Amino acid sequence: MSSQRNDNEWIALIDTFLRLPRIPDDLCNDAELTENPNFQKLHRYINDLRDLSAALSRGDLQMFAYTKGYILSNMKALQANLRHLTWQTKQVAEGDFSQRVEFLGEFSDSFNEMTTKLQENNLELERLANVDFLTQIPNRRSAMQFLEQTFLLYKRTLRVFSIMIMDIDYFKSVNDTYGHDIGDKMLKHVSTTLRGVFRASDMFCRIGGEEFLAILPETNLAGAVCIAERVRSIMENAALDIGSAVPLKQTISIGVSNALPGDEKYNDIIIRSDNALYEAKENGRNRVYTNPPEDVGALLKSLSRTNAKRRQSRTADDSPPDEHGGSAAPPANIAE
Amino acid sequence: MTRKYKFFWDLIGDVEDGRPNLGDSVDLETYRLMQFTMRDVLEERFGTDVTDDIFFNAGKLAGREFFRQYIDPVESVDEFVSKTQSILKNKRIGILRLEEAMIDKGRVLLTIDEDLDCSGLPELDYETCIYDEGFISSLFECFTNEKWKAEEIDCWCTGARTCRFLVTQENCEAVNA
Ligand SMILES: [Zn+2]
Repeated sequence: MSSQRNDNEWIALIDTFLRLPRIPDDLCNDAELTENPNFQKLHRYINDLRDLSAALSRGDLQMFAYTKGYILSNMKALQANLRHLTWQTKQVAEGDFSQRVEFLGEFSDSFNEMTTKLQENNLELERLANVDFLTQIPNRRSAMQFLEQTFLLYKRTLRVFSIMIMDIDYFKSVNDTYGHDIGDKMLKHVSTTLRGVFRASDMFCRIGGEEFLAILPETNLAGAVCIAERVRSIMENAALDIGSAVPLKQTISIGVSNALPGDEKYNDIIIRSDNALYEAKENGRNRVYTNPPEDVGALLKSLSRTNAKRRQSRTADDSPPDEHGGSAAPPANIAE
Repeated sequence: MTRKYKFFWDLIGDVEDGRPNLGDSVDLETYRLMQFTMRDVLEERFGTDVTDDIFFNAGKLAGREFFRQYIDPVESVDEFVSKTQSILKNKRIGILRLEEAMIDKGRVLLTIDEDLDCSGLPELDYETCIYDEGFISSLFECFTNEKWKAEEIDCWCTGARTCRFLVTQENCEAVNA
């Protein structure tokens, strides 16, 4: 039998319980303790406090304390918050940058700053992945994504679209004669000059070397030829100041094609456009060719006749001009 | 039984039109006064178990209507969570946080801070948010079309500073395993 403890001894005992990581062996079988229900209740509480605080201190968030009470509950609240934070961190890892913390004081600020920065960096990386570094217009990757989407839409709805591949004529000689710096300048010059020719809904991009691609939704072959001719003529007249007496002018050749019902993949359209471009190069450069082959000159002549008629009727009803090719310059010396 | 009080959303009425001066909010004390007095009378008439059952099922009905009105349509778990979080916060019902969201495995652990029904209540020795249990069960049921049950495992009323709910899908093998 153990002796009866006085008040001071009880307090000393509880103090021991609160301080030590486990109950001293000699107290485990102390009848005065094991048979006192109030002490047992307090003991369970202290045990839970001990375990939960130890678990929290090593970052173990899995321990579950069922005992209730204010101090323990504060720890449980911290545990719940840390668990929520863990969940939020996983969300961020999955790319959900909308996660914000507002319950962990200073730590919240750092976490939120981190997610904001990650979000910004991610957007910047995404932009970089889709933009051509030199010309700052979309690159091949984003062009192919856009083309794929446009093609899928075409397969579903038969909404017409066309593409054109543009290649700077004799670009190699620019590099050879004036050096790569001037070559780079020429590529930038072409992209800035041509950017404004296309609608916001078009995709104009550099797909490699001196080759550019434009994807024109809602545009049939004739409409695309019209734009191609405008592009060709603009480049024919656009001069790049390279500090010499005579500014540099470089023409471009263009192959145009449109989506056809028999196409199985978007590459079919690219191949036709490439073939048309090859024809344009073979037949003297600074030309617009199409595939399927059309008489480009005749096409443009008939287009300009239709447009003239439209313009006449427009002055009558005051409707806005057609953005694509509506006011295209009449065909010049192309594809004769 | 012919029904007099069957719920439909229009019963809530056009608050904007009806309270041009007082607006759409009411003092929280008044809300709790109504809820706890009703609970008192129900318990006196029907006993504690029936009262708890009524509160749970009222919460379920509310959760279902709430989901239809404010959360549907949602496509993904993430969208369900973030939409629920923001609507509960905007309506000042509580701040929802997820500790783990294994919806596919039939187990979710969540906390509601500053809960409408119980934050600031005196310390009691029972969890009090039975209405919330029904409400939360319903949100998960509506989202997944499966049976779910929410159980409050920590509550302000038992000393916790936040209400914590364990939500489990019934008859889900992953949970029972
Ligand atoms: Zn509660």
